Amino acid sequence: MNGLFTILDAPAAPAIGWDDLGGILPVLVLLATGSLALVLDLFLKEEASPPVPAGKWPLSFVSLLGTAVAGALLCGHIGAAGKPWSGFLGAVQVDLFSDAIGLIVVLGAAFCLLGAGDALRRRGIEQGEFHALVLYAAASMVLFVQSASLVMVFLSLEALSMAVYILTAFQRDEKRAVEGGLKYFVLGGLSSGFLLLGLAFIYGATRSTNLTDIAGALAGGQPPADSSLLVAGLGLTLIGLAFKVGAFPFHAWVPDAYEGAMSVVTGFMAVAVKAASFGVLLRVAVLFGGAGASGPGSPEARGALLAGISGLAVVTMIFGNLAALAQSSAKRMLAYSAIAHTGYLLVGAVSAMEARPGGEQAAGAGLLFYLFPYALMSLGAFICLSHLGEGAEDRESIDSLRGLAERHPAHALALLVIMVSFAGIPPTAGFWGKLFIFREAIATGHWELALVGILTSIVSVYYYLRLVVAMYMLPQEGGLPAPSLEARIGGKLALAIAAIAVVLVGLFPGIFFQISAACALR
Amino acid sequence: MTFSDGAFWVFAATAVLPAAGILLSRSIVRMAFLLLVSLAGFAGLYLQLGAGFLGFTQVLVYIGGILILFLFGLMLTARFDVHVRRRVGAGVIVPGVIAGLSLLGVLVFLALESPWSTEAGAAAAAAGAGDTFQIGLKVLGPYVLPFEAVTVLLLVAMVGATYIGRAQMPGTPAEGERKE
Repeated sequence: MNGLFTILDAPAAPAIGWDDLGGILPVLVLLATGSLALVLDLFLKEEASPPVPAGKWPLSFVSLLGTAVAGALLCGHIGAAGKPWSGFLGAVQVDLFSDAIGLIVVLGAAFCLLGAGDALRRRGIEQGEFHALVLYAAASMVLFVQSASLVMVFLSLEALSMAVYILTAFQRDEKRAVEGGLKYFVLGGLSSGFLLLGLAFIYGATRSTNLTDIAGALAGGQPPADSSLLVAGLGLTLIGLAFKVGAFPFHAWVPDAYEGAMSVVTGFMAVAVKAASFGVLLRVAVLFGGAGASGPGSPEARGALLAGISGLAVVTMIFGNLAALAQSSAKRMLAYSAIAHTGYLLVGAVSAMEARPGGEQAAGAGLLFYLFPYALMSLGAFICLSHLGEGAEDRESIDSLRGLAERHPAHALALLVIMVSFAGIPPTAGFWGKLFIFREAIATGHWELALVGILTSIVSVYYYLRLVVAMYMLPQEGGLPAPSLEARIGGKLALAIAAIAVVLVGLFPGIFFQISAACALR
Repeated sequence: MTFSDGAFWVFAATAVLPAAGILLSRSIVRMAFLLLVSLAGFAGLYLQLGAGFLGFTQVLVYIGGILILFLFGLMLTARFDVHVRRRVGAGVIVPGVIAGLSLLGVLVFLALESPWSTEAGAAAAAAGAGDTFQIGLKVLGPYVLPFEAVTVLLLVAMVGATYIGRAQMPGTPAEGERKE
């Protein structure tokens, strides 16, 4: 008992207080809103007649309000240019970079919830669990990017993955959804095993679970006890994260999970999971392999990480684009294109590792800038597929989009903008994103990555424009009956916002690039 | 060979041999039982390393968990005859063996080459069962947020399990009807 009192009385022990809770307020707001949605659902009556246009609108309203508040908090923090803040005795670190990634995550959740109302109602599964899981996933993702300790990295990744596995299989009477969810679960579990072993090795090599402490020890010229252990740990961690971002050859789950999930969920997965995982990947890569940060501590780790990420980038860009060429389903094509975009983002991660701290180039500005229009395009495209669907089906095949321009010209126009931007044709947002990423790569001496990126981008024009050709130039052939879209306000709104934002970012890239540069890792 | 060495080999064999048995067995019931034995071996190793808390948690969580799986998953569903079909072809064996051996190589290399720190372990062993006390302080100190993150993970898993596992949804045919 003596021991207890001496420890409790020790004056030096730092305490956890309100400040710590205030620092992670966006996360708490998302969590609380999720639980509120879960409880609220109990008080909402199941409508007897299915085609109620409004359905359980309070669910959507409350959860969207939660994302809006969380987004506003994050925006406020970015606007105030807050200093990096470390809380919970070093478990989390909140800086502008984590705020920016968190904002993209919250954006993904908000769009998903906007489009989800119609999609769920059509299938007769408008349950509070959906809203709760989206919000829990978003909260875990924000926490994931804020993690400053290896333990937090693993736990928040598990929490967000678990939520996304369930969301994938949310349409649980649909065989494809359950199959996709199970595949994602099994392969995701395997990848978590790799990640956990990797984190354990990093701990073994550096004797610390705190990323800030590890960075300090490495920068202080203190070589890790054993570089081979550190390299092995980083390699396994990289494999685990490569699974999550869907990089080749760890992409096996992507097409099935993306196709099986409802399109709104696919959009959320493609944007939020990827953004959060890239946030952590970039942090780890810059911490252990950055040009200046790692100092003399671990040149081997830097070499291994550079080689690993560059290699992944090249094969992912080539594989994703070539595989997308062969698809006849628009949804599957977008899934492979998501793999291709992972490749471009990995190029951004490589050039971020070359940026010197305090130098002119901020680490990861290009990657951050790329993520924003990519998020808008992916969300817009997947929500559009969901929005045009009928009953339990989303509009998935390219053929079913034939003649869309005649029936729904506004929708076709929005999808056209998004596809052109995906292909990276100037002066769209996608073009600027690719330009900044490839420019950074060339500036840091990785011109071969930029070359592969540019060549594969040219290939990608073909499959994106195939969709446009189907919409504008081919006559409709039977297919799905044209659904009445009058009542689907959420999807319409989400699609309009996405398309308009893509145009705006394309017209004024400078502003957004400055914000990205300000939010990049320091 | 000291008594401690002997105990190590017993625990190690208890951990590894049943694991090999899992891979070779075809009956799912036997696999579950062998997993139980293997995890018990690991619990012994943890105890021997002086990680008392970890060892007993292993017994409670993993061995208890497997037992629950055993009881509920297998006995209550009365599917004792489940056998795992393995499609074994050269296309599976060759890459599998290569991947397994290279992973083994990396792990053996790391185990032999790394200067593993033994101070922390020795200190923990000397403290005896005191590690539970230390863990308690850590969980409510620097690890309070990770601890709460676990609660989020469990909440998500629970919400998901009840949703996916619920027998029927309003408006869809009942479970029995769909089967027929």
